[in-house]
Amino acid sequence: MTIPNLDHPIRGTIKHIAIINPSVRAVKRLGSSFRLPQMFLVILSYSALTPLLLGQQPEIRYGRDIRPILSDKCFFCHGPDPKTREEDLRLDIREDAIASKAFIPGNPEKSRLIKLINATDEDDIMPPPASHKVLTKTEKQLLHDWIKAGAEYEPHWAYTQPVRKPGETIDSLVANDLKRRNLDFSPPADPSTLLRRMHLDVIGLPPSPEQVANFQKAHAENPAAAVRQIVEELLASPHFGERMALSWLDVVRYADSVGYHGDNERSASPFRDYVIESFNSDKPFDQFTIEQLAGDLLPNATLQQQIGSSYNRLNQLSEEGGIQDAEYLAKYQAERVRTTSAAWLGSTLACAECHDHKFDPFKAKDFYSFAAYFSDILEKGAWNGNGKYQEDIAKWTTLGIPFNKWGPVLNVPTPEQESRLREIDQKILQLRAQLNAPAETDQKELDTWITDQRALLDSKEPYDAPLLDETLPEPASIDDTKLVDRSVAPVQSGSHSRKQEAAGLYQHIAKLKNPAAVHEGDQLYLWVYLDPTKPPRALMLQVNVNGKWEHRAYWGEAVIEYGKSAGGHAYHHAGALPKAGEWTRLSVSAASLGIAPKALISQLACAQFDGLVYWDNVGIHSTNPARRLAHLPPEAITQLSAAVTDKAKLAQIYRRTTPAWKKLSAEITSLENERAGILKTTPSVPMTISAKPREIRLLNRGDWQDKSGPIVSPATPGFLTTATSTNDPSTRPTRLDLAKWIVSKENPLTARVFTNRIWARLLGTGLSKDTGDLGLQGEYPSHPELLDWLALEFMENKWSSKHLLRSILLSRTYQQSSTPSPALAESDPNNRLLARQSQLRLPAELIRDNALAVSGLLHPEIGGPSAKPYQPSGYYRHLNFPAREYKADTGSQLYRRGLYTHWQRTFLHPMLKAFDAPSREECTPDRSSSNTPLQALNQLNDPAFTEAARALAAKLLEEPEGETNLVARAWIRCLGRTATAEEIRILGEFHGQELERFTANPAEATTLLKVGHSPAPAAIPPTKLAAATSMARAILNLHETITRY
Amino acid sequence: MFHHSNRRTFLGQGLTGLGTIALSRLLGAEIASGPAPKLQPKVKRVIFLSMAGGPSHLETFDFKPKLRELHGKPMPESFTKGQQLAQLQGMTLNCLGPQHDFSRHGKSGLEISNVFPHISKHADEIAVIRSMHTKQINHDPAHTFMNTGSIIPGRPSMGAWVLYGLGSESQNLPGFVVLTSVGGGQAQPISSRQWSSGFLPGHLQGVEFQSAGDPVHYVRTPPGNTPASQQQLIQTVNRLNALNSPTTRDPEIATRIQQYELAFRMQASVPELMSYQDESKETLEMYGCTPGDGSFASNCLLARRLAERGTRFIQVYHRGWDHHGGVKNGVATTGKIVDQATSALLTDLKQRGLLEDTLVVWGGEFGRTPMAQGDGRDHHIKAFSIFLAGGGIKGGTVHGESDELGYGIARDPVSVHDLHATLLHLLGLDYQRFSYRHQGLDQKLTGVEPASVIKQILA
Repeated sequence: MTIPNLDHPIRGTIKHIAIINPSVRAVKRLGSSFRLPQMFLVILSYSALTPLLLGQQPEIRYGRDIRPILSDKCFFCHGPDPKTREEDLRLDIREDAIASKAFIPGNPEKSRLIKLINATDEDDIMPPPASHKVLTKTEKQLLHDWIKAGAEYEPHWAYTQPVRKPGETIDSLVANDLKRRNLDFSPPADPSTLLRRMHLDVIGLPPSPEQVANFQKAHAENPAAAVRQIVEELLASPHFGERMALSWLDVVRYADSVGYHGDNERSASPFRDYVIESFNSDKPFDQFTIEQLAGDLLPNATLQQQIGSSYNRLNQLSEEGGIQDAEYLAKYQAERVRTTSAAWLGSTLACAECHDHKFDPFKAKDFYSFAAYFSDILEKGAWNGNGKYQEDIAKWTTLGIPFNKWGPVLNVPTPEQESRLREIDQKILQLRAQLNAPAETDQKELDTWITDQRALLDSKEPYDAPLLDETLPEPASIDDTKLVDRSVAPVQSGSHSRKQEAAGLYQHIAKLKNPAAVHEGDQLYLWVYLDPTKPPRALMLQVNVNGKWEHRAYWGEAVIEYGKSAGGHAYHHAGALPKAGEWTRLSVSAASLGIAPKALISQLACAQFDGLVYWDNVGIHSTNPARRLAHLPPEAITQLSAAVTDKAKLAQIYRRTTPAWKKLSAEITSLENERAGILKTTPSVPMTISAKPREIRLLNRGDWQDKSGPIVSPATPGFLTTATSTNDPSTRPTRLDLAKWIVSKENPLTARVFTNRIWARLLGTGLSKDTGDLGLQGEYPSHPELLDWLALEFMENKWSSKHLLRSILLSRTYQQSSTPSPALAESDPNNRLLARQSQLRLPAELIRDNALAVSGLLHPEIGGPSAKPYQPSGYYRHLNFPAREYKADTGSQLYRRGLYTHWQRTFLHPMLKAFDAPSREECTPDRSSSNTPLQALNQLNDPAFTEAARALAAKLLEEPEGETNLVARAWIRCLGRTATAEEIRILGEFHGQELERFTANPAEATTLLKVGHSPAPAAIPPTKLAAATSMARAILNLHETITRY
Repeated sequence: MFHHSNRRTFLGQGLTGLGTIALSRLLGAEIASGPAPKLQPKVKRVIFLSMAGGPSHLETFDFKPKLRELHGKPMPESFTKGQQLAQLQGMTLNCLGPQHDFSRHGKSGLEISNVFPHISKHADEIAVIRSMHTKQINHDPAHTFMNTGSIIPGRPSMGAWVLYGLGSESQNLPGFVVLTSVGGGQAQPISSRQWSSGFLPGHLQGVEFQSAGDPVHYVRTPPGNTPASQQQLIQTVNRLNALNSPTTRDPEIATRIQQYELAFRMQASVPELMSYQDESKETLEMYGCTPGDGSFASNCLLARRLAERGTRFIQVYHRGWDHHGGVKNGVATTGKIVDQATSALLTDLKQRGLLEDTLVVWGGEFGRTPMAQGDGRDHHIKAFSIFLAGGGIKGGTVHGESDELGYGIARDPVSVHDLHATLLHLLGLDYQRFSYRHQGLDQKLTGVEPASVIKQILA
C-alpha cells in the first residue's frame, strides 16, 4: 500500500477536505476567507502527524473502504439507475459484476476493472475523462487489494440490524478505538466548564453563580455524585423540553407562516408546545413518532395526539394567483416524502422524485409509494380558490370542525378560554330553549302585523333593505369589528356603528345568516363616516356571490390589492371618496359588479386602506317587494301572498319580530360573536383529517402533468421491507401503518438516525457526519459499534430520550475537556476520534436565551403563542397580499426564549438568521455554524443585546455588593467561571474609560439607558449604570459567551 | 507546522492583503471533485438586474408582427393544447398583438421596443437571448429556479455560489448584496430565500441593503455611543478573546476577532457607501434619481458604487413587471422606471472602465403569454427574452428565436442552467466541476441535467 496508514475517519477527511485548515471544524464552519497562510502549513505538516494515527492495519471493509469509491466514481454509469447505466454493467451487485466479468475475486491482475482504472489510453481509462472523476493512487490500490482479498461485498451498514456485545459501554468503545491509535481520553473538563456545558446542552440556559458555587463544592467532595445529581436535576427541568424541541422543530419544519408567495401567518404554536411537553414527559420516541405521523388515526385520539398529527400539515402552502391544484399537490406530497424520510429514516429520497436513485437502492416507485401514505390528508393544492378538497367538507363542518383559508383547524384553547367557551355554549343552549318555548300570541297584534306586511308587499316604491346592521332580527356574524355606540362615535342607524382604523389594508367580513337574493335593477348601498383627521385612501365593498369573492367596488385610490390583478367586476371603480366628517350613503349597481339577478349574496366585506372609518348599515336598494320581507323566512311571503293563510304559521313568524324575541336573538348573536372572537385568538394547529385517499401516480421525471405513470399504493421502500401493498380501501396501508413500521424492529434506521443526531448535538459531529443522510452516500460511521450501541440502548429502554441523554452525559467521553492537545488540534481538528469534547458555538436561540437569562430579563414561561421581539423596521416590506408591518410585542412577551420567536419562513428574524437558524421551509437536520461580520454587528448593536447589557449592569449594581468586584461578578454570571487577573484588568480598564466618558458626557449615558422597553432603575446614577452597561456589552460580545466548551 | 506562535503572529497581522486572495476559491476547488478551475476569467463581478414579475418579451425585446395580424383572433390551438397556463387555465384564448412598436438600433440593427429609448443606445453592446425558457410558471418557484437552479427551497443562490467560488474583493463590505425597488406594476412578494446561501456556509448569503432605515441590519452603533467608544469596545472584546485563543485552541476565536474588525469597518464604510456626496451632478442627472430614494435608478447607482468597492455579486430587483392587466401602459410605466437607469448604469460602468470586467444581466423569472388576459398577459415559461452586457459578451448579438407568435422556441433554446453555466464560465469557474459536497452528492449550481455555455454570445 502506498499511503493509507490512516484509518477511516481521517481517510475520509483527506478525501474531501484535505487542505482545509486543521483549525476548522468542518467546511460549513468556515466563517471567513482570511485563513490563507495556515493552509499551506497544513499541507507541509501533514506527514508529521501520521505517526499519531498509526495503529494496527485494519482489514479492508467493503462498506467503509471500497463502496465509497465505487459509489462516487463508478455507480453513476454502473449502478442502480438503469436509465444511466452503460454497457449493461452494474458494480453495485457482486453477482452481476462477476457475471459481467468486471473482476475475478482473488485475481486483480486478470480483472478488467483493475486494467481499465490503470489504463493510459484516454479511450479505455475508467472513469472516462469526460466524467471529471479521477481515481487517486490510494483508491486504485485499495480496489486492487480488495479484489485480491476476494472482493467481498457487505450490505450497507445502516440497513442492517444493529448489534452490540455484552459489557460494551460508550467509553469502552471509544477507548478501544483510541487505544488502537495510541491515543487516550483528554483529562476531564474542569467543574465550572462542565457545569455550563451540561446546562447549555440539557436545558439551554446557563448556571447562576450560586449554582456554580454549589456545584464546585459538591464536585470537590464527590465528582461523580455531583455530576449525577446535576444531570438528574437538569433532565427533570421543564426547560429540558425546550432545548430538545429546538432541534426537533428544525427537523419537522415547524414555522408560523405558510412559506410560499405571500407567506401568510397561520397558527401552529400548540404543535411546538406539544413537542416540548413530549420531551418533558419523556414520551417514548416510538410513540412520539406515531403521534406525529398518525395521531389522528389512533383509536379515540386525544387532543394531544391530534395536535401531534398536525406534523403532516406543517408544510409550505401557496395561495398565489394562477397556481394549479395538481401542481401544488405534487409539491406538497414530494415535500412530505423528503421531510419524513430525512427526519426519521435519514434518507434522501429527494432524488427519486425524478428518477431511480443513482447511489441508494431507492426507486422512483418507492418515492411515490411513500407519498401515497399521505394522500388521505384532507387538503387542497392551490389555496387561492382554484383548489379542491378530495371530498366534500360538509362531512366535517357539520361536526363543528372549523375551516379557515388554509383548511381544517384544530383549536387548542387555553384553560381560561376553554371554561368561558363552555359557559357560552351552555348559555346559548338556554336562550335557544327559551326562544323555542311555546307562547301565546295576541291575535289583534298579529292581525295588525299581517295587514302591515301585506301593505309592504304591495308597495312598488324602491327602498333600502339592510343586510348588515345590528338592528336586524338576525344580524350577520362579523369576524372582526369594534361596535361602538352613539355616546362615543357617530352612528347612522340603530344604536351602533362599526369602527375600523387601519395602517394599510384592513377589513371586516360579515357572514349573512341567510343569503340574500339579488333582483333586477338592485343597487348595493353602504353608509360611511370618514374621520376628518384620518381619512382613508380607499374604501372597498366586496361581495361574496355563490361562495366566490369576485365582485368588488372601490372608492378612492387603487391601492387595495384585492381583485386588482383580475380587474373588471373584481375591481370596479365606483367613484371618489366621500366628504369626511359626515355620514354619506355610497351606492353602486349590482350589475356594474357583474352580479346577476337571482345571484345569492352570502358574505360582505368592508375594506379600507389607511385611516379611520365608521361603517354602518350596508344593504340592498331594491324595488323587489320580497326584499322588504327578506328578514322573514321565505315561507312568510308565500303565506302573506296566499288567498287563504295558515294563521298558526304566521303567528310563529310574527313571534320572531316581537321585541322579546329580538332581545333573546340579539343575546344569542352577541354570545356567538364572543365565541367567534375567542376562537379567533385561540391558538390552533392546522388539522390533519383523514379523507378519501387521492390517486397517486408515479410521475415521470416528477412532471405533475404527466398522467402516463402507473398508479401506486402506499408502501415502504422495497429494499427495506417485504410487506405487500394494495389500494383496496379495506386493506390499504395507512399513515398509522407507516408510523408503526418506522419504529418497528424491522426498520434499523430510525433509532440510529435519532441517536446519531443527539450524539452530534452533545459531541459536535454525528458518528456518521451528515445526520440527514445515513444512506449509501452518507458517511461510514467513525464508530459504527458505538452508533449501534446507542441505537439499541435507546430502543431497549423504551425509546427514552432522557435515558439516552443520561447515558451520554454520564460518560467519560462526554465529560472530557474540549481543549485539544496541540497534536490533536492538528491531527483531528474535527474531533472525529473523540479524544476530547468539542467546542461548539451556541445555536441562535441560545445566544439570545443566554443574554436574557444572565441579565434577569428572561420571561421563563413555557409555551404559548409565538413571541415578537424587537426587529428592524421595514424588514417585511417585500411581503405582500397583504402588505405587512411587524409589530413587536410589549411587556414580558418581549423577553421570551428564542425558541418562541415568531418564525416567518421567508423573512426569519435577522438575529436568528445571522446565527444560522434555518428558514424551516424544509426539513433541516443539520444547522451550519458560520462566523460572520453580521453576527458581530448583531451582538454589538441589536437593541435586545444592549438592553440585556443594561439590565445585567443594573442587576449587579442593585446587589448588596454594589460596585465592589463588579467586573468579576459580571464575569462569573455570564461565563460561569472566575475571571483571571488579566481579564479583570482589561475589562476594568474599559469600564474605567467608559465611566470617564459618561461622566464627561452625561447626556450620552441617559441616551444609552433608554434603549429597550424595560425601564432603567432610577435609583442608580446614570453615568455609573451606563459605564457598567458598556462593560456588560463587552462580556456579552465575547466568543466564550456564545460558545459552549 | 501550525503553532501558537503562528497564530499569534497571524492575529497580529490584521487582515491586510488577505482578503483579495480568497480562501474560499481554493476551498471550492478542492471540495469539487475535480481540480481548481483553470479557465481564464472574463469578468470579476456580476450585476444582475432582476426584473421581477416577468416582463413581457413581446413588448420589450421580441417583436412579433404575425401576432399583431392575429390580434383579437383565437390563438391557434396547435400552440396551446395541453399546455400549462397560470391564470388563463381553462379560459378562451385570444391573441394580443404587440402593444408597442419596435425600432432597429446601432450598427447591428438590433430590434428593441420603443419603450426603451435609452437602452436602445447600447444596442451594439448588448446580447439579447430570445429563446430563454424556464420550468416554473408562478413567481415564487420561478424566482427560486432562476436564482438557485432548483425548485426545491433551500439551495444556494447564484450569488452565494459565485462568492463561494471567488470570495469577495472587498474588505469592508459584503461580497453579495441585494437591492430592491418597486413601481409600475403589481409588486409580487419576494422571499429572502432568493439570496440564501442554502447549504453553503452562512457568510455567503446575500446581504440586503434596505432603502429605508439602516441600510444593513444593526449597522448603527447603539445610541449614547460614539465611533471611538465602539472601537474601544471592539478592541476590548478582541483582546479578551485573544487571551482565550492559546488556552482553548479554539480556531473560531481567530475568525471571531477578524469578524469584529470587519464589522467595525463595515460600520464606517456603509455610511460612506451610502453618502453620495462625491457623485457629480452629471452622473445624478444621467441616472435621473435622488440618491438614496429607494428607486431602481438609485439602486443602479448604488450597484455601481458597490462594484467599484469590490462587491462580487450585486442583484438589483425591481418588483414591477407583473402585468396581468393593462400590459400596454404597464410596460410603458415600468419600462420608463427601468430604461434610463439601466442605460445610465451601462454608460457609467463603461466610463469608469468597469464594464469590461463586469457582467450585467437584465431579465425576469419568465415572460408573458401572446394570449390576452383582458388587456394584459399571463405568465409564460415557454419563451422569453433577457439581455447580457459587459466583459466577454459579444455586443449587438441576438441569440435564439421564438416562434412566430412568441409562444414557443423556434431555434437555440437556452435554459436557466445554460445561463448559469455561462455566468460561471465568464467568471472563470468551470460549471461542470464547480461543486459542493452536500447530502453525499457533489451539488452544482447547474444541477444534474445537461447544461452548456452559450458560446454564441461570447466575444
